[in-house]
Amino acid sequence: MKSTASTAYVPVDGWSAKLSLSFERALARTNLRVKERVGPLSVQRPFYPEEDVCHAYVLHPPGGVVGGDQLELNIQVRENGSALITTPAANKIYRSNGPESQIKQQLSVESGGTLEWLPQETILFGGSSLSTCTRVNLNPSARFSGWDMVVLGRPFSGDTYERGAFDQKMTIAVADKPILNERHRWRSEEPMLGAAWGCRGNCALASVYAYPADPDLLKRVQRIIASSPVDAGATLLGELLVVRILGSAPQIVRALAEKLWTGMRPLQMGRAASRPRIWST
Amino acid sequence: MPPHNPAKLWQLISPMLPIGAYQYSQGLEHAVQCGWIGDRTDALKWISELLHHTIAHIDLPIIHRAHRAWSSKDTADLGYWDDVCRSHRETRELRDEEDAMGITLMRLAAELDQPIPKWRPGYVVAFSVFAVNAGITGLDALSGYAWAWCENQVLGATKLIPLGHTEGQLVLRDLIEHIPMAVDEALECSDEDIGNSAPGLALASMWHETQYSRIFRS
Repeated sequence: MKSTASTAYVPVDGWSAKLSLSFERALARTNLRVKERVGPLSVQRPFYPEEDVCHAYVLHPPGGVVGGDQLELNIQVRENGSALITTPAANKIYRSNGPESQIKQQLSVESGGTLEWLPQETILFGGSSLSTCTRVNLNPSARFSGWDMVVLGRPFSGDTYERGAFDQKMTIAVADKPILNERHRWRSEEPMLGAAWGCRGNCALASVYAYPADPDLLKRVQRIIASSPVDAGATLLGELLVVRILGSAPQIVRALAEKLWTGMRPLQMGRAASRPRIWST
Repeated sequence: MPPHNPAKLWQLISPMLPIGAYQYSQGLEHAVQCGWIGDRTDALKWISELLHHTIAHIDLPIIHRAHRAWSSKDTADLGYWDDVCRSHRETRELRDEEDAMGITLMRLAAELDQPIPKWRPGYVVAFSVFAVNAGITGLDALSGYAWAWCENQVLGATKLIPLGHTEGQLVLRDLIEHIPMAVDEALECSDEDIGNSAPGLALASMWHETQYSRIFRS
């Protein structure tokens, strides 16, 4: 990460970018169709390291997100489609001189479809202002595995995120009925980041989700968590498994999230984990 | 409309109300076990901050809306807010608590000859239904709920930390000052403003689900 980035000149007016993708089942594999593309959000040509599953990399605006930017991402996995989506790099949210950046993500998975939603972490620079609204809508017979990782400041560049604002909303709905609403929200001066009931002074916060899940999957997840040095817990909300992770360094939080995905995948998706190559570059 | 009788609210928020509120600590038990809360100051901070962060942004604004819905017999709207409330509970234990207390309170309401919804609402919506049935105003219902929540948390803290009776009263004295502010925050909350997660509390509650020895159910 370039340490000069936060002081670089950025224009005040934000632009809009929109990307709508549809993953459609063909005979032997899932095809990616770009339905709409406006502005600097794009997707790389998909590839198939495990035959039928379509692996796609979504590219955020090069150079990160500045105040006032509005990004919209729509992902649709059609009937029996199978997609794994990640990003080639962390999404950087730069210091804003006022306006809020907004990211809206809508993910839907139709009957028999599978979506693995594994974006790399969002890094909130000190003084940034971000509102993210993610809505996942699942058919009851769909399978979903996903995570959301947020890093407050840049622990290795002296940015300790003293000021800023974020509002991270996540809704997971089954057949249009919300079964989970989460909202991690903070603004300068509020007690949440340091409080025992809040982030406990940690700079990395993550959630991991799996649907459908059962007590066996919960047990496996709890065993993986027990062997990790970070603070993490899991719970089963009906058929939705939720893991919460708090850590003092981004890489240990991410390592646990990856371990959980690797550990859950055979039980949940019926296949061994195929680690996206881009994570290693 | 019967004449205003404040004692109707006192019945709903009395610790004698047989809904078993004293069995739930909402993560407090594990937070004390981990050493996150060790004295009166820690307890006041934990409870007062959560009063503003979660109660004023989830429970109270939903009671405000559910009270209005049941007053106008709009059961579709009441059901909607019941679902919203449950979806904001972050752990299985917190959802079980919401469900169990809701069922018990509605059973009691039926035995007291009150009308109740056809489904089994969670506690927040059940509380609102009971309040409307008893002629308690929306505003009184909000303050009453906030008070009952604070009192129950302090009761838990006095058992768990433990605190002396006078210390418990000192915490309550300070919490009382926060209640009108929390109610105001709730009244200002728009539909889009509802919701706040508490990651540390969620962790404490998740760990409590597998805690070996415990006295509380949440």
